[in-house]
Amino acid sequence: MTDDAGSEPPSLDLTPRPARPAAGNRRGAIALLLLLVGGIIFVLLRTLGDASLFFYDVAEAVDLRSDLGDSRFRVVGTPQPGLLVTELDGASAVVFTLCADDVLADVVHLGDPAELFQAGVPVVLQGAWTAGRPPDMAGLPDAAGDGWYLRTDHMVVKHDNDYRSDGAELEPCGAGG
Amino acid sequence: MAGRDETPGTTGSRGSRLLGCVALASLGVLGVLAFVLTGPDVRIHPTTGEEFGQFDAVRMLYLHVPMAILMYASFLLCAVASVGVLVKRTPWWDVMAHSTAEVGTVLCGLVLVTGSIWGRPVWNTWWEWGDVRLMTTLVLFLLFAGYLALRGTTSDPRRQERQAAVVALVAVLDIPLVNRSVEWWENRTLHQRSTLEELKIEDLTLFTLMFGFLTFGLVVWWLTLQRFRVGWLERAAIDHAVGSAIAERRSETSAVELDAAIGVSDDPAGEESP
Amino acid sequence: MTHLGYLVAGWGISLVVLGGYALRLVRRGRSLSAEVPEDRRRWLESPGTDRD
Repeated sequence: MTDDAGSEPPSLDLTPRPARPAAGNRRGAIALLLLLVGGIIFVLLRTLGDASLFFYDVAEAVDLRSDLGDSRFRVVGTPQPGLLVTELDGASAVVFTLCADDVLADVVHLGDPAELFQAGVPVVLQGAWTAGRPPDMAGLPDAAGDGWYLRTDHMVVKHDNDYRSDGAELEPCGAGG
Repeated sequence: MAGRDETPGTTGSRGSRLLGCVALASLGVLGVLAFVLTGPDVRIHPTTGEEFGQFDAVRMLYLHVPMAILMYASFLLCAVASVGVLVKRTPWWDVMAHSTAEVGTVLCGLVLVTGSIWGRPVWNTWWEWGDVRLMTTLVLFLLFAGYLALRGTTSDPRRQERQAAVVALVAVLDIPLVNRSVEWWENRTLHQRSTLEELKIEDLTLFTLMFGFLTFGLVVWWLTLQRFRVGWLERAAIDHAVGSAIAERRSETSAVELDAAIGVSDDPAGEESP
Repeated sequence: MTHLGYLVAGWGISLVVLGGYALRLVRRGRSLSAEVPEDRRRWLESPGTDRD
């Protein structure tokens, strides 16, 4: 580090050295860094690699019914008034009609619905198209009745961005799409 | 340690103590506003006539949103300071970059946790893989956690500062993705569009949210100030320790030996270039 | 009040983490401060620690 040209070799090196992390700490930091890079790659693959994470609206889901086949996908829409609680294959289920942009689809959701689930509040459902009539369809006031229904098992509520006490710009149908 | 100052240490100044007290008092007022004075989010649905909304879970709004906005601010400050590191190359910018990155990372972690806790009752899920805002925020957290980890990996501080500055400038590119994701990929997120941009908030709810920004702004200002002082002190302590060690050795070493050791010679040809 | 558990968890975790972080900074600052001469403790007063 020291330039001793023209003088005797130094017996003592007093050059201040930069502070360095202890070797153990450094190894730990490198391991943590690698873990984080791995984490980022995992997140990107998880996000970009799964097409089912895209939300179709009801009209798209109906249009793509033959392409979707029995694959699972997500659909967003607004439940119409008239929610029926019933049983399907021994499990509790909620039967209702989902709507977006005036296109309807009947839904049988298996399992407990979301805590804030109610008619008029948009939801995102995950499931697949099933041929046939949903149970108790006669009780649905706005049933699509097209010979198909969405059999879903994952429901999340997509609430609006309104926090005004009289703010309820939700439309009768289409707010979710 | 040689040269240790025995006077009681402190990082505070009258200004920062006052700032800390105001921030604490402000947190108390925010608590009263958020839990006592504002009401739950309960509205009447125009079609069904039923009550709907987030009910009392809306009180997470006054915590989660201000922390998210101040997280952006911290990371943007980190980016500005990182430019300073690359251009000016002075310690002030590096300590500022490191401080804002650390505070921002703490906030980012809390934003993820509070968002998850808020999401459970309101959305019916703790976490949704594929929600673009959640994913981009998680990536932002991992990038800045990586930034902090990077600061411990190399033995050359100047190299480390520059590497970290580059990482921060890359990481900060994720912020527009986080912020705009709800507009750009509306069908890939459960997050609603911006309430403030569309001004769908009013009266005491709006005031409490604004007060939340002010409160967490004070908290983050105080934290950044303290973290900056710690960073500055870390450098000062290293420099002081090195200076003390040299002084000690100097006192133990004869002048001739010392001159030889640091390469100083009467011969002009042997002078060190600056 | 609805969702009280979630509110307590969200606000509680945030305040505990921020408070703990603040405490850690103050303690670390005090400990470092004792190692540094008074005139170099604060950047406004310090002659500078530029290593460049």
